[in-house]
Amino acid sequence: MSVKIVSDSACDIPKELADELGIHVVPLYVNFGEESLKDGIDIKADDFYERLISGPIHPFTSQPSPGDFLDIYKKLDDDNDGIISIHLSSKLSGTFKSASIASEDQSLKSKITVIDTGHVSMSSGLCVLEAARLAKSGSDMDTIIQATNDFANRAHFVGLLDTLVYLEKGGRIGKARSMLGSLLNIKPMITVENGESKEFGKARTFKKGIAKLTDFCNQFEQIQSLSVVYSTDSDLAKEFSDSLSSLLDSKPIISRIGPVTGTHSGPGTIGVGLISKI
Amino acid sequence: MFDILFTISYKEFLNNLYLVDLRKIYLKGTNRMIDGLKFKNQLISANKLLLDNIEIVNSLNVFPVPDGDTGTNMSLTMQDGIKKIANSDIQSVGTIAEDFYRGVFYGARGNSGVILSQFFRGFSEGLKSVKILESHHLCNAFILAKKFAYQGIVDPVEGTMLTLIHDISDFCNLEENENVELVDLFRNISGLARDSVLRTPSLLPILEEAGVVDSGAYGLEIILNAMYKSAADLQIDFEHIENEGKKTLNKNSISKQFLDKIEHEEYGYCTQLLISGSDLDENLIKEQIISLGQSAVIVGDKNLVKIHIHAEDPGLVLTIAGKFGSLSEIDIANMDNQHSDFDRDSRNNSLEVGSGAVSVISVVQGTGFGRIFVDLGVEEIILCPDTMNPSVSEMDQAISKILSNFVIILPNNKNVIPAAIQAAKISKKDVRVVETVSMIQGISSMFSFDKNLDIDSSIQSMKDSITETQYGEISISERSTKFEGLSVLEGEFIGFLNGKLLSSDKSIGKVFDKLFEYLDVQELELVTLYSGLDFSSDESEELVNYLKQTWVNLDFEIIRGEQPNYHLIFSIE
Repeated sequence: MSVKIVSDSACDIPKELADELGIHVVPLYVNFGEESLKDGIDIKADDFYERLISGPIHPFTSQPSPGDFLDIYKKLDDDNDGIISIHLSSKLSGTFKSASIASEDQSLKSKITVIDTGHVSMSSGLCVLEAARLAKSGSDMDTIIQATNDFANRAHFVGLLDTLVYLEKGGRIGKARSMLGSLLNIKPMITVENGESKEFGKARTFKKGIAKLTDFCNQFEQIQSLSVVYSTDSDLAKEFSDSLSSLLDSKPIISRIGPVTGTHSGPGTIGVGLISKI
Repeated sequence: MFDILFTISYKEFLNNLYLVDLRKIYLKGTNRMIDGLKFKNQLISANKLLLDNIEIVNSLNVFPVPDGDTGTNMSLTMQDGIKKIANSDIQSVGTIAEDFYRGVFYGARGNSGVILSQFFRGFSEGLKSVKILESHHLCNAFILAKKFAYQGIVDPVEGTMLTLIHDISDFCNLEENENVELVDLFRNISGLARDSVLRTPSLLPILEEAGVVDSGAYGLEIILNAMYKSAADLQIDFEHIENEGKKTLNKNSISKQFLDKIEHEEYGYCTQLLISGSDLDENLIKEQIISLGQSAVIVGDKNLVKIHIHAEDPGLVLTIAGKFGSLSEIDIANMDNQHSDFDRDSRNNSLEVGSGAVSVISVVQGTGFGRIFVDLGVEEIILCPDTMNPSVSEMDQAISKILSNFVIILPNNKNVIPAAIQAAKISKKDVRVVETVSMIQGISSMFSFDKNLDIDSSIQSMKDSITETQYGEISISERSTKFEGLSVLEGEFIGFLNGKLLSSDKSIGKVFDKLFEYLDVQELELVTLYSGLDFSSDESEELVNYLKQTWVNLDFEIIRGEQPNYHLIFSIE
């Protein structure tokens, strides 16, 4: 028996890591018009980005239903020391709400806690991974809950986007809105603060943006875990990840931004999610 | 002006679109029975009517996120409920309700879908073990529907689907309803839903602004309306409703005006200027300027016209105004910055040195450049029409217009730096000068500006970034001359790089070729060409096509700088 960890596909956790640590990932939906597809199951990243770039319909995303969560919780119901369900920012998605509704279902016996990381993609995903490592090593439920909230407080995310168009189309532009409308072809950089997306800065060229990402990572004295995320350019992600490897003991985790996060960030995105030690 | 337009459009929309015309209602019999089969048909009708109206519901979606998916989400949710019951021949209303709920619970999509599924959860609780539906069952179902719909929501917002659910529950709490015939009760609830939907804009200001009713509430109204019509065996004319919707609702006009308005509120620029000339046509100027923003005041005579407008794009105002005559006393202020500074000031009356928002003033030539600086977050532009030499008092005026106590000046020209330093000295505010010698350096420094950093950190990162970009200018030589070994003929193009005259040629392309030879081009990515008043867009295109052949690893971007004197100003980075 152990504590079970549930997460969602918008945390962009690489599949092999999720499998290795026994994380149960509930998919969000990517909808092309009325065609509703499960993130990462009915549609994979390669096909998705191709459709996003060249398809006639712009997709929208939606949270898993409470029923989707109840299915997982029921599957785990018989054999656990509690279930912790860790999700992306409740200000960016209703996923947390669906999970909360399902967790209160009368038919469940398990003790379930739903956590809002206030983050997205791998800055949320790293919190899930750390929680899953604790669960695997036999930590109890309260310890993991407390630690996860603590990870979330020390989590940071910065993404370098090729364009703001996708963030705007999806209605998730938040306070990054002020970067819109410039004459210059700017590479916008966004961060997540208090659960919302916000302008981090802007770069005139992609190379300068990468330099700013590096500066961002360098400002932390000690980094607990770090992930490089990308949507379409895997070579660039590898190169960037190698350049950061001296900052931490282990190798950075390279993670592909999945269809749900990718709907909002668009092709050509690269970014870092990290948890600082202090 | 817009407010009136909105009011008309949404009332008109509702009058024309509303699905029940009470005058046409006539009941074939009074005591119609609703068993499981009939109840199933009610839900199927609701699903079909919603499906046919997805686009209309989507187009009303402005809250909480204007992403236009409410109709799709609600419909997908309903469809999963229908799949559970479509082939069922169960005779019990309670079982149908429960099976349907199980379907929507799993199918719930988006916020509206989740609320809808919770609504049906309560509804099915209320119909538990009911075989034949009676009025008191229905009342109980709607009361529980409200209870569950509110349960899942941390911060219920009125003026949405929840208001409708709330209103119906209150109505169903009235005891006399238990004696009302079932079909009449469905009719009354459907009518009440209409009133509730109409009420949503008065409860949620964003709807009033946008001139729409709440999309989720309207979606639920469609569902309840179809359920009533199906109960009363009234014909539901799906195609008719759809066409009515298309005719009355001009989706683009509503959302465009609304979005413009929102953007304006957050990001308008107070733009003021004088146009002087001879024989100015005030009305023509008015006509062309007024649509560029709001709160426009345009007054004057044949020789002088004063313009005041809150514009989204102040550069465009300048460009258009510039066609009528020469511009002076140009003042562009970012109202968004002013507003947030004001907020901060009113909360914290005693700003200490080293804290508080920082504002930037930029000295600029060319309306295109003005627009770029404003876009990059500069609060005050000092636009110089002919030569770059604003007086100390002009700069002092610009400094005093800014609400913030912390000001950075970008002189953008070697000759302006002394005046900027002087203005900084005499001001009571904390004014610093980032000594930029070209507008290119000014732009480059703005990429490192963060108004929320303290002024010392801002200055440091802006100074650091100046050297990241190389800059240059292209002009035409007015006479033949020799300069540091370079022979220049009159009428030739001459090229400067980082302030030094380095090349000349009859062909502008060759001038660039020679300039690029001074650079380590392999390390560079992007050349931005800002074309001046004397250099057309076609000429810029032609030049870029020429340069691309030789300098294949460089990207080129052309922007209208509209500066005088220089055909091109450019940056390489």
